[in-house]
Amino acid sequence: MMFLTETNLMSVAKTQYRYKIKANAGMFVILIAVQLLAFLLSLNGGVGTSAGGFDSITYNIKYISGDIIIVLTLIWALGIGISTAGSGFKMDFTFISNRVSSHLSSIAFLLTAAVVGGVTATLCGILLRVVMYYTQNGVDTGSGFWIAPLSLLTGIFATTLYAVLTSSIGYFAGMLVQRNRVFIVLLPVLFFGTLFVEARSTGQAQTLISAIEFFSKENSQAFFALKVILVSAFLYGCVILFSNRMEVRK
Amino acid sequence: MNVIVCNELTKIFGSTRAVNNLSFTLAPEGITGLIGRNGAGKTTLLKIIAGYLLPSTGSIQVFAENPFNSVKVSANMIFIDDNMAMPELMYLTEILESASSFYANWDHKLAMGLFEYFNLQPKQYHSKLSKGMRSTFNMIVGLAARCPLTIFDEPTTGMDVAVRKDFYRALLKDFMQHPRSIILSSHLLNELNDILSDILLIKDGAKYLHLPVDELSEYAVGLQGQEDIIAEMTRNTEVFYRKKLGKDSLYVAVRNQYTKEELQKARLKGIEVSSVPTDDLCVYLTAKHEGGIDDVFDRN
Amino acid sequence: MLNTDSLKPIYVQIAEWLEMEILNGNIQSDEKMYSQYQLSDMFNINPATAAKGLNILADENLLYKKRGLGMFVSSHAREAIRSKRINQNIKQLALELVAEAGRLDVDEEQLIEIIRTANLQLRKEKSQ
Repeated sequence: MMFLTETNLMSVAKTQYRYKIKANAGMFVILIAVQLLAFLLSLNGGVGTSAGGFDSITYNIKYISGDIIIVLTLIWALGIGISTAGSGFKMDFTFISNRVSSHLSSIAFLLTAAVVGGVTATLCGILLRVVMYYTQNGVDTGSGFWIAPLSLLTGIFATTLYAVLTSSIGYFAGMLVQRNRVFIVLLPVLFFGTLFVEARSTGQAQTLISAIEFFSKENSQAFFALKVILVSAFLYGCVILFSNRMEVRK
Repeated sequence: MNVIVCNELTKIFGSTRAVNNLSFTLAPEGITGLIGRNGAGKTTLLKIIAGYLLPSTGSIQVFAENPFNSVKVSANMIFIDDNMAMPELMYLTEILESASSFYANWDHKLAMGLFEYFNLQPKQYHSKLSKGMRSTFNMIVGLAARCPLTIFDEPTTGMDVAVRKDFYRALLKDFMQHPRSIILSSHLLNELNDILSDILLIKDGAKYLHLPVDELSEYAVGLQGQEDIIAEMTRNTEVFYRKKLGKDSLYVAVRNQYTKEELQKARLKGIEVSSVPTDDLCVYLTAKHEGGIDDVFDRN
Repeated sequence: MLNTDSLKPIYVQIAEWLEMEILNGNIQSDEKMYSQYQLSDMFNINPATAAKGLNILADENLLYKKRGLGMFVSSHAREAIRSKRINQNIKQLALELVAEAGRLDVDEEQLIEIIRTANLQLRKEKSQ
């Protein structure tokens, strides 16, 4: 009889994490493409004039410079959350996995992706300033050409945390869909339905705005971080709970 | 210790019982053929064993543990079929390297040796492989992982005869060097009959037979000759298959409970005694009609 | 190779093949017999099946075990196999031959003549 291999949850999750980084290398290529696109859009559009389809969304963008880069990076983070939920479970069970180890490795992977997204988006924003400064004379680059190292770190910190948040929302939504296909229709209907109904009745998508303000209006960095971490942890916790009896490779 | 202990296992999908009150045990070290018609519940059973699906009722123990969510079972088991999800953007050789990081007993030399032998291209994507090539690649993963429990669900889909033969031989050779529990589900029994140690035959989700393979070859006997002599011989035996030939001649496949002398006597009376090839036997045993497809036509 | 359509199970066919190896003198008395794994590899069969074939010979004392070394051919094996085969195969074949002759109305004289002719033919082929 062959000896049985002894292993534990953490070492399996670690192997799965390394596998996910390799398997999803393409996601980071997409990130670069997305940021390049955002960069070019920013060059063309100038500063702080981005206007989206919904009134409610432009609200948030007006204040931040380098905004498109960050917004697109966050959308990328949302997407990578969704796709990890979709392909991750399926791919994990090709090799050694259980449901919890699959989630742990996905969470670690998404945190990594958020950091990479946060750092590159911030650096991309700086590059934008430099390019704008030299190409378009007289453009106000905001608070000055040089950014203090501390505010650079703050930018990375905030963007990363937003990416953590959106990727966890994506993962949560993606796992709901894995749980039941109904959510593929239900989630967009709920999201856009609320937007639409509220915009119709009050002229403002109040729920979405207050959800965003819950984070963006937080003055204390520590509290902001805490809010993000708690909400993400809550979403991941829900996923782990509701998917623990889920059947795979059906 | 038994590798698998399965007790009154039932799995219900909607209104169908894919697995129906199935009980069996699997001893360590052996190549088991899981044989059954399409829709007999082979895949469902294997996926419950692998811990992918939850049984509706009954219990299942793999390595003395419930396989559902067991890291231990997963670490010592590999499940190969033609729906294995692999990364879109990884080359085949990269996938093999990743697989090697998971499995403690992984034999990379064997994996690469087989990879070259079967002419797989290193810089190829899994999703771009033809059906047969994908089965071949998955089979290599299954062999090289050297898991104490190795499950192949219809592993030869799309493979040509030559590759299938090579696969069976590779499986046997690796099994001899590293004895373990291998389960192969298939409906091509005649090809893999020789390399099996036992056969688990299921019908409508329930166990029909679980026998060492050489007992199966003695399980039934084919008799051909005059109808009245055969009727006399088979009065108290189970008849698995019956086919009329000519005017008063009959071929039957029956449970072999005859002594050597009895068969000898029958031969002298002009009855042709033959073996029933195991794959035919499995078809007869799992058929719903004694005369097979002919029953449909004979009714008119 | 093995005949999968034969009435005989594979392990019986293996046993008979081993007997032929002894009869032909390919493996002499007190020589080592093929191992279970050699047979398994040669015939592409499960090692358990091969072991069963070996055990048939061992049960008839045609083989003996040396601890840790494997199975060896007994000194009387060749003679024992020969007499067993005369008793079983030849007599069995004769019985079937006679039965078939009876069904075809071939009488005893004719049958013996046929056997003689066959014998001559084989001798001729051998001498060529």
